[in-house]
Amino acid sequence: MKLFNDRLQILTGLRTDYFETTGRAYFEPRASISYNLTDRLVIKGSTGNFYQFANRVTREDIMSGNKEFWILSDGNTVPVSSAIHFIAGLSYETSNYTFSAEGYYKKIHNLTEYSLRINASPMGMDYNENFFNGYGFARGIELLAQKNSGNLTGWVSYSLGEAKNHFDEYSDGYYPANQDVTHEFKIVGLYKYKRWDFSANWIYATGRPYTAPSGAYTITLLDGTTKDFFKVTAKNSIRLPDYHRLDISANYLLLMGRRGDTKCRELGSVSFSIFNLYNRKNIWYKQFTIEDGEILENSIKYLGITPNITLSLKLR
Amino acid sequence: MRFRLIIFLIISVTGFSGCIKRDNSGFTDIPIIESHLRPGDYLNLTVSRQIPFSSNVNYSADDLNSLTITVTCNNLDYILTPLGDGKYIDSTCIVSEGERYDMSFNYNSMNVSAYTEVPLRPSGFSESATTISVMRMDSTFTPSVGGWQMPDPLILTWDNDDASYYIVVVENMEETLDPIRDFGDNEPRFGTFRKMPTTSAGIEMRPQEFQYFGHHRIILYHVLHDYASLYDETTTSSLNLTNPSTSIKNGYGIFTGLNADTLYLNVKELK
Repeated sequence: MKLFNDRLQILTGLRTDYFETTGRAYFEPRASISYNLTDRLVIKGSTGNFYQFANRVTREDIMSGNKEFWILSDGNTVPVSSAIHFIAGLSYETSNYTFSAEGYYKKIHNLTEYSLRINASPMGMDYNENFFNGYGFARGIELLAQKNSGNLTGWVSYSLGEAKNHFDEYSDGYYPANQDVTHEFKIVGLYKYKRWDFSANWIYATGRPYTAPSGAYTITLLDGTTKDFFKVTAKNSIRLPDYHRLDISANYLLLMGRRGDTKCRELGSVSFSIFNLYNRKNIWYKQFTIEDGEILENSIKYLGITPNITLSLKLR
Repeated sequence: MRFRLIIFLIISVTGFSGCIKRDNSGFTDIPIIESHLRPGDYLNLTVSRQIPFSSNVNYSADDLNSLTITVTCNNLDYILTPLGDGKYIDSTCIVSEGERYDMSFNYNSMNVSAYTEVPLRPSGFSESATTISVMRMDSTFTPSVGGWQMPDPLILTWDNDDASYYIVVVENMEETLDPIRDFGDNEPRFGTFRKMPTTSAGIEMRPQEFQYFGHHRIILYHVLHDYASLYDETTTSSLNLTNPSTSIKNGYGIFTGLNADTLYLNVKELK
């Protein structure tokens, strides 16, 4: 729908899914709106309700790092997850530059996590059920400044965000979600010079949260032997070190033809790149082992400096 | 100009937000309680502290030997007396089977509480034999010409209509342990061993499980689920850190009741 000389545009829609496992239909309404304040300045917003039937479940593993797996919802132990989104922002666009600012809020229901770390009722609950359900939210602001034209192009982006979950089994209140990253900054530069394309990008993000062993204690058993038990920190209460790296690349276009020919055929390209130029030791996750009653920590890292040469050829 | 302004704003927001202090502390001084209430015993309890993972932790100012620990039974409150080393006792209250006990005290500005019941004494506890004969297996051992026949297993049975938990613990009563088999360079086994918790009404014990000759005390413990969970082997798995399933709030460890019955067995050498 367009109004006010096409300045105001409203788009609505409805998606419907039928999920055989639960035997019911799911309705996903959505809508978006945009208003051109000027020919360059636009404000916009959107909202929608979404369902997900294939769920990505986190298997909590404090000692070896969490792993994730996909499982189809069964409507009970692994319910159909849902989310409602609210997005609003504005953008300013010229022939050379684009600037935008956008805020978002998402409310998520029926999150599922798998964990063997539970305290069942002392009167004898069944240990077999280790899937837990909860809810969460994510909110934030994303800023973007982009240069679109000329030999030098690129963009700078920054996002400030917060993602929190609530599982009764872990805590009474919200805690940082596994993917919670407070600050993320990216700068990408691209430069074109004749047949050369140069690029560089730098990424910075504050550390993701994790749970770790915090202490240990010993209990004496009936036969006189002892057994060690370990406690962990509050869920996701510790942060990994900040993540950042610099990547660079150079790409040379291969052409067939004489100098000055206006109809050179593109043969392919040769590119050279270096991932993680200054070899930052970014931590992926932590592993813990217990030896002689002591907790030992080992950091598993992402890829270090990695040069790469690529030759690509186009076959006629 | 606008581009520079945007960059300036981004850097300013980043810098401002970066000044927010993040709390990375993970250790909380939560007490460890260890208490096994057996009929005939005085009310007793031990309180201790965790061993922290990091050396840079803050402990509570509470003195482990000066806590006001209250145990309630039949609407009567008993305040336990400290004995030192975190041990507490009340000699005016004798633990009785079938009774519920509620415990509480304050520690590190939190109320630590727990409850338990003392299960009934095992009934119908019987053994298929009071004596078993086992071959001594040392360096001179050789099976007999006609073949060596393994002795029959010892069958222990008891009543268990409600499928509650039982643990069998076997203790050698001899002053000097006489081993059945040569341990070689390995560490000698303990004279006491136990079976895994069970919810059945009996177990089978193979003669090979006994390490020493002599008189043994076979103790059948009637325990609660929280105590049985201490023996969960997955507790030390790298995949989980399941702690004992207990009723303790704001604390760790075990606060449980148990009861027992005892039989005797003589393990003799088969000549």
